[in-house]
Amino acid sequence: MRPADGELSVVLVRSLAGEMRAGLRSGAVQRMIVPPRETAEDAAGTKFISMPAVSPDYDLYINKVATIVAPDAAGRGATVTSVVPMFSASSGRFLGMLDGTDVTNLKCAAVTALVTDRCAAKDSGVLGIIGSGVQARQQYLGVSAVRDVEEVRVFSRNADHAAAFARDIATMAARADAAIGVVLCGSAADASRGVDILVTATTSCDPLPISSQLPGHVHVNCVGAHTVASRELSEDLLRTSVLIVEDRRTAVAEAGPLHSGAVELDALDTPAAAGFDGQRTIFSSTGCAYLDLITCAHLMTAGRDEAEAELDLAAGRLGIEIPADLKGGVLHGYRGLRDMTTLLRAEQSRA
Amino acid sequence: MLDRPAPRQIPTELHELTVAQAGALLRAGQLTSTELTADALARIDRLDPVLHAFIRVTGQTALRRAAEADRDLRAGVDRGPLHGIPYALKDIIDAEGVPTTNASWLSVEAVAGSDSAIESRLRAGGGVLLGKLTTYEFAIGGPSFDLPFPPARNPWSDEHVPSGSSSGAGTAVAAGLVRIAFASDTTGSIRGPAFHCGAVGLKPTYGRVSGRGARVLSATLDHFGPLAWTVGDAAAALSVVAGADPADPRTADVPVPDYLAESARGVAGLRVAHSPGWYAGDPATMPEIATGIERALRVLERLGATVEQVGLPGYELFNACGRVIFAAEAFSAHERQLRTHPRSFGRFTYQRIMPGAGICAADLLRAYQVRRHLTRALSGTVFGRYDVLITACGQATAARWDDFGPDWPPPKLVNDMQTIPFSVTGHPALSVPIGFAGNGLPIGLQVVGRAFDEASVLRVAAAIEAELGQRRTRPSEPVAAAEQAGRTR
Repeated sequence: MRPADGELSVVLVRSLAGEMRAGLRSGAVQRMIVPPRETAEDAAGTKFISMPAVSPDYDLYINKVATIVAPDAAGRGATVTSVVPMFSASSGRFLGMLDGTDVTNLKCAAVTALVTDRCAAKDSGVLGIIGSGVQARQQYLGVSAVRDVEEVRVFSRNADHAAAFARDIATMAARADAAIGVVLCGSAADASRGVDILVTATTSCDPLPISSQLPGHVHVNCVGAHTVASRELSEDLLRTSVLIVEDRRTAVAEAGPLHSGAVELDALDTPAAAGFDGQRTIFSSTGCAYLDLITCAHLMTAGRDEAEAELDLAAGRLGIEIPADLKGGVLHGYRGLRDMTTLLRAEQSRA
Repeated sequence: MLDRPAPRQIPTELHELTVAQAGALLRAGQLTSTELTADALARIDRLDPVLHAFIRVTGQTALRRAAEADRDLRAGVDRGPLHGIPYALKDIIDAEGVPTTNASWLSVEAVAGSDSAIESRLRAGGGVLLGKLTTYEFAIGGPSFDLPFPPARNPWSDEHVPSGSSSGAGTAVAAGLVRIAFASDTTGSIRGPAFHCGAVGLKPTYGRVSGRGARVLSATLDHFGPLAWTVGDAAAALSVVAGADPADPRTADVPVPDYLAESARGVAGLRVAHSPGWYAGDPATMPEIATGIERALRVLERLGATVEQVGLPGYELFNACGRVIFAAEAFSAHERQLRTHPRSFGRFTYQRIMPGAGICAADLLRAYQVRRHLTRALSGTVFGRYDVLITACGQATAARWDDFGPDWPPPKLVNDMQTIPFSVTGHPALSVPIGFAGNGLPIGLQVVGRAFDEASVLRVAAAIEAELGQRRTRPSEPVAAAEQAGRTR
């Protein structure tokens, strides 16, 4: 299973953000079993990561497992390989496997949408993005899913990457029929000056030279380095802002005691969060497996719904309405056929 | 593997005669077709109230045709290997004046206005039609109880299905109601019931037997051929129905040999390929089947064949290719009635056909293209070097009735048949019995040949049958059940 064509749509991001919010509000997240993630590391610096989560509400057990091979001597970046096996939590039956990168990308975009929607000013129109990689792209998608962005200010250390990312944003905006101006900036300070929303999505271990002219109402999504030893944002900025985290226990463990007063996602829908308006907020993302689990559940449901919609459309064109009491078996057969057509497409591509 | 115990030794009874044996007696004047036909009708009358193999028995017509066959023979007119021999047709194949119900409420009273190509050749060949056999609805549904006729029973066990869609054919042949039945095989509907009922089932090469006058299910996958109690009977049956039909463009004008004679030539010098990759490592495969195939290979080697292991393209690719084509074509064949009379289909049938509505033209054309690649691959890598290929036909014995729930697919049932690859490629393929599994149910293996080389398939199958597939008994349970029920038709 993959998101359609491997590309995340704003619609999917938006619907997953809604699913995450529903999971947080219903208590399903609180009822999950989410053991601390474990990381083993060998002498070469390769990391072996396991991130399990179990949910009785979603009837799902997942474990995102990944390897991260350290950058090589030539300076080529880390290689991440990840998969997510899924099982029924009640029967133990194997349900399928998702590409871990797809899950992570979609999850990151959706949780950004969720947090940005609660924390950023309603009329936010200027977005600054520092970074030009995959995560920067997901952040753009997440923000644009919930705010009418008019201008995107981009900075990356690599000018070519920044230019390519700017073109990518323009393409995505055109597809969404949105009029967005993309500005290539010469520095992080330039990209962050006066923005309503700021995204930091870099591999930097040191605090980024962000503009001192950050508006007081700015909302920052920080998805890069976040440990005590290396972090994208300065301690000063973190200390003087409202911090939002997925899971306080994980945040404190990984990002330090600075996060001990951070607000967790489930509090964003409570009256206490209403006081954020006009304050500087920072989503200091450390990642947490419960969001991976909701993402997997949503992808499975989305896959099911997509199959049903396709079949209904095809039958409807032929003037056929499938009786409700017969639909279960028909859909089961159709889903199997979709898998087979996917296999044949892959074979044709290979051939 | 067990050799099933012999509760009834009835070698001298008429229904135990092979086509060749019966033919010899008929031609010698020691037996009449009328006697042979009356005996078959009496056996059907006694057993079929329990087995439900027949949808319709054409008793009076059968006796009249038997009398004609007897008159012809007395007059010195011999119409061929099936002259005077009773047979039956799956009820999707037309016989003039007889309803072709397709086991469906949608066609329960549809009387055929003319003979199908198969029936036409059988009639011309002096055969005696006993009636029409139970089928899954339109040769696709399942063992259903919401159709006009009850599903056929597996003669070896009342707790198990006979498989399908040619369920009545498998049951009738195994129970000795008829020695030859003619049926269709779109993804395995001849070989499946043969495998699960302990009979021989031959799916000839695509285009070897005309499908004119048979209900279309999937035009590019539909094959037509015989189920029989012995390989020799299947060979004789094929000889009569094989050959080009100008009215069916699917058929090919390729010479038809004397298959019965060919089947007796032995296997010395034949090159046999064996591919265990699809079944041997799969936990779904019953050990008796894997070891049975190994035994058969050793037999062939001992008889002078060369056996070598080969690799095949992945089974899943064949399966996907076949399922996509099947779904799209089957939907196309039934589209109108799915729109106008959806509730007249059986539940399983509707749920099996309707998914094909979602197959788009690009996916269907892609499946056709992959089929061409797979067919070329098989023809080149296997049949470029070998005369036949041996592989599994099914991976397990027959499914249980309680494996089937209210909706398709059955929740507990795995797709354990490995017949679809050769439906996709059109190569001839035959299921031949190799004994019984530990649970007392029959098992077999699959012999596959080059296109239009059914002769080599039959030669190999006959050799395996002679060593491993001899069944000294008929299933005893239907006999006991029928006698206990005390019912007559």
